[in-house]
Amino acid sequence: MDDYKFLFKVVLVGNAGVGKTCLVRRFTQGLFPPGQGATIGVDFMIKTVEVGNEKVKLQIWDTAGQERFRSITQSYYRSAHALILVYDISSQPTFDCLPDWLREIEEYASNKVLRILVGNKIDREDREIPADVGEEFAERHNMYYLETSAKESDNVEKLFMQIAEDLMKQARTRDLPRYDSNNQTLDGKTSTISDSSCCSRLQ
Amino acid sequence: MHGRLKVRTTEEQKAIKLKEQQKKLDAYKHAMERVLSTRKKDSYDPKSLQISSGILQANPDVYTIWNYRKEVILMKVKESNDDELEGEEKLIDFLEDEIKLTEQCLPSNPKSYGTWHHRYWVLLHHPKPNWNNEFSLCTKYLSKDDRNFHCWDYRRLLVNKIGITLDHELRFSTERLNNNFSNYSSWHYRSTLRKLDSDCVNHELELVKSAVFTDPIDSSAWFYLRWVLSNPTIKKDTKLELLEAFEQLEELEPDCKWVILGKCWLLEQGDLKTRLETYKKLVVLDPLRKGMYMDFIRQAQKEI
Amino acid sequence: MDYEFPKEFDLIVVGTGVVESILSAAASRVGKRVLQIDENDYYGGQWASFSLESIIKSKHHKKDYGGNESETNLLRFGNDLVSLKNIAHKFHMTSNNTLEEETDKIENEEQPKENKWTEENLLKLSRKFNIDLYPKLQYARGDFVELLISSNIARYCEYRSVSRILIWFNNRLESLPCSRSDVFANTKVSVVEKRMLMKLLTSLNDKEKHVQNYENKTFKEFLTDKKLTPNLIHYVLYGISSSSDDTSCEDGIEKARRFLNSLGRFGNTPFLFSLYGSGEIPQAFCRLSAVFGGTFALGQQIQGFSISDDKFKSVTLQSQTVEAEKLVLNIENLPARFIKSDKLEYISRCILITDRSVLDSEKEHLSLIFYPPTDGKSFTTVIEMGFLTGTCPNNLYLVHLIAKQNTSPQEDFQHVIDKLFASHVEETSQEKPSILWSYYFSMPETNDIILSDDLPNNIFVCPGPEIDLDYDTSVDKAKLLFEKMYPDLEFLPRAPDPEEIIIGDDNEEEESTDINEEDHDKVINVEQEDKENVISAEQEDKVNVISAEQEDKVDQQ
Repeated sequence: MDDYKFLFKVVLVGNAGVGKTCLVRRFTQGLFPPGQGATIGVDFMIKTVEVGNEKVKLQIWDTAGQERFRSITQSYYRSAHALILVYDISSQPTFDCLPDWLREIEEYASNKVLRILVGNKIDREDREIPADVGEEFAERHNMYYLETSAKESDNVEKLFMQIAEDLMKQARTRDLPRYDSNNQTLDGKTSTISDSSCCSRLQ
Repeated sequence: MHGRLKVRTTEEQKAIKLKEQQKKLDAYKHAMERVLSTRKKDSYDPKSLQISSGILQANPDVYTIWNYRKEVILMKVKESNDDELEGEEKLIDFLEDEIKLTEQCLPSNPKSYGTWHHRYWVLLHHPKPNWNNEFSLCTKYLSKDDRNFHCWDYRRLLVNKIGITLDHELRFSTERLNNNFSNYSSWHYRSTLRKLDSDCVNHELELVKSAVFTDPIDSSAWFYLRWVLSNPTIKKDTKLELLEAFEQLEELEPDCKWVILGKCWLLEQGDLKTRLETYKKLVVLDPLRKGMYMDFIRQAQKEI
Repeated sequence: MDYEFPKEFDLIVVGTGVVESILSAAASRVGKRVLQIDENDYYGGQWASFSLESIIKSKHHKKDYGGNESETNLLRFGNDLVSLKNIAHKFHMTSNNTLEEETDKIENEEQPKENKWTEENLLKLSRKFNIDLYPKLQYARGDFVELLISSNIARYCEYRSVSRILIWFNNRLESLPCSRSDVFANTKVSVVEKRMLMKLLTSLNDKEKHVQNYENKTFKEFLTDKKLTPNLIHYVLYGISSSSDDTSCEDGIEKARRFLNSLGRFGNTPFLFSLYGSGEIPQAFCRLSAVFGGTFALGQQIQGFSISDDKFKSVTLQSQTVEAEKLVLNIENLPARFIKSDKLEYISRCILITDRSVLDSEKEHLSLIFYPPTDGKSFTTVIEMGFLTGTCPNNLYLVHLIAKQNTSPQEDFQHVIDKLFASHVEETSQEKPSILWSYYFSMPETNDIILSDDLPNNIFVCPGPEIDLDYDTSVDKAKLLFEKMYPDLEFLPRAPDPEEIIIGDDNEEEESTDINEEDHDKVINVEQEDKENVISAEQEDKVNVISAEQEDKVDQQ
């Protein structure tokens, strides 16, 4: 299907087991896979969505397990348009690690990347991090905040659609005539916005 | 299962593709029917218009649908003429959307007559057409494929609409040729830019000489050479120099008919005997065109 | 965070350089359980890219974690033989007190006025640099690019074409005419020379032709006999075939063919360069390995490894011992006792930050420059890269020099630097670029190191970068080692596209959550059936994809 106008690279980071892959699978395939094995063979997943009248492809990358021992490659972050930092609301350690993740993001990712903090697993009873704590952390670090449940499909669609919309907005305000957008990524006929002005919080 | 990797077989892939194709075909047929059934003289169905844009994006070569849209546009133009206050603005918005549509259709088939023509037609009806934009579009598509003659034609149309300098176009043409000189369109375009006079004819000669020496088998450059040589302002000395150079080239490429043909062009008013010998060589080298060369020989012999 | 590794793997890989990462990816791909570790906290080892600050700080030699070897019974990784030598770096301007104004400008990421570069403001832009220890180019039709495409790793990286090739001739830099358009546009050769050159290039490219009667002669003699003018001989000998006067005819032709064969696939020159630096390449292979189950851990305090009964047994990390059937390691990590060669050849290296291109032009180029051998100095290759390669900030250039070492890096490159660069910032030579920072070092040639006979046969040693411009030798080495390790298994079959993957559930029963060999076999079998049909379609796409990419990156301002 070659009729999309934009392709955006979205990467997810966060501790092992917080539900990154489940979020992606839920969004791209509508599935929630039980079991706790690490992901094998999933490199990135693509989903085309419609924003306004335009077709937009989201290329959503998985860490491939390299986060387990803090060994995500720098190239993972390259040319990313949006970055989703995920923690598990029922696991304090995954929240405590956020500053470490932010340091890594600061070092490897472009400072113009759209950043979203996601507290996942809100379907669970044993919440350890209150929503306002998460929200406050996000605000302090200039990130959008959202709580989700990949299992119950809560807010997952909203998360990615919001990202798509925000990225589209940025792409449009670059004010280039469409056929002059020369910056393209691997899939051709697309536009990257890595040089766009700093994004503030999503509305 | 979380993490189990399985890959679809070719059979499965084929089946899926077939299903998709069938779906597309049904949708297309349905869409065409809908649009054509609502085609009227002085009113149009907005839903049909929307559907028609989908058809064109899938298949930009359906002339009928472009024409359908032209009919709608003419209706819109009439409407805007009747509406004093906001008519022009509304028309411009509508036409801008139309232009966007052609943009969306180009990537799938950059060589569609329908698309290019429609775009130009729309701009002709546009109260404030942005011809410079069009120019950039043209340049972009030519960079992608400089043999896209639709684009070259479009460019010619545009050059007449805006004040592009000769210099600019010459530079553009030189750039295209530097990129790839095996291209009739590029050379042809260059020949339409200006009439050659004694100042520039030598420069053109040097340029095309470079091409024919770099690759004597490429015919497009030879055609341009012939055109340049037909220019009355070329001095006899220049022709002799070129002839000498061709002798050297012939040594390196004895089997290339173009070199020998090139010599013929230079010998046109010259030594008859040499000409006849050269034509005879051509008959051997290029038997496909034997008839033409025999003709030349007969004509030359008449001169004796 | 997990700190415990599984106790056992099929393969442990120590080091994250290119060759071992290719092996790691290949092993994971066919279902082996792989653990890849590195004591550095970055990927790449001697193949890595660095920010400005980190290359200055990096010590580039083995860290020492282990206790006394005899006490622990462990063999320590590493040796001094194969580390970088003669490291020297320098900022070439005085460190003035920058005006507040200038500092503010840096913070807003504007560039200072000309000649106002200082140590401070360069370091502020440290993160915008990706400085390769060893920059590599990729032949457009070489084994490496084919491997990237066929294994689908290509999509992890972005590329840029080398946009021009220059050669030092007649005391100046000239454009090397190598493609048909170059020859056409070249103003320095006569039209007849153009024909002769094209004829030669076409015939050299013709694989069918064999050259007779030149078995014991040099390529230079061959070219002279072809009646080429001295101009053309210079271009073909030193440029197109990167040879020297005594290169054999056979080698010269082979090298010229390689060059010509890759022309035009992605651009006017035969070469691609990985955006953001060559350090992206080992990361790409590591990622593929991870996607297929490989476990990765950087920054490991590796105590050593153990051998028993002449076989490698296990690796001991800070708190854990992990066993495996096989060990792959970078030669940097091999204990000295297993290295037989005592004399090493070296590669001289120099990295410069400069303020303009060696040959100014309308657009920014990624330039490959050949500096032929002269006065006892080796053939020098120079790569100049700018902002569009993602390796340095705007308005600056990164220049890499590479040559076979004669005496020392400084001496080996002095003549080239004198010719191409203005050496002091004060020298306001309008044309020559000024050097703002330089970094010299020697890198050992490790491709042909002889290993001792008592190296256990389940230990496999990978070389570091060798002097060739491209990766093809490294790929060959990886394939050779893989063949030894897993003789009946396929080397990096094409990885499936995301759309092709049915992640188990649709109609399947849930079984164990662990990937086992059986499943991988199923996958492999299915794939091998489809391989043929699928690869050809894919390769077309991938080729188009990269080349569209290329054009656009070139157009990018």
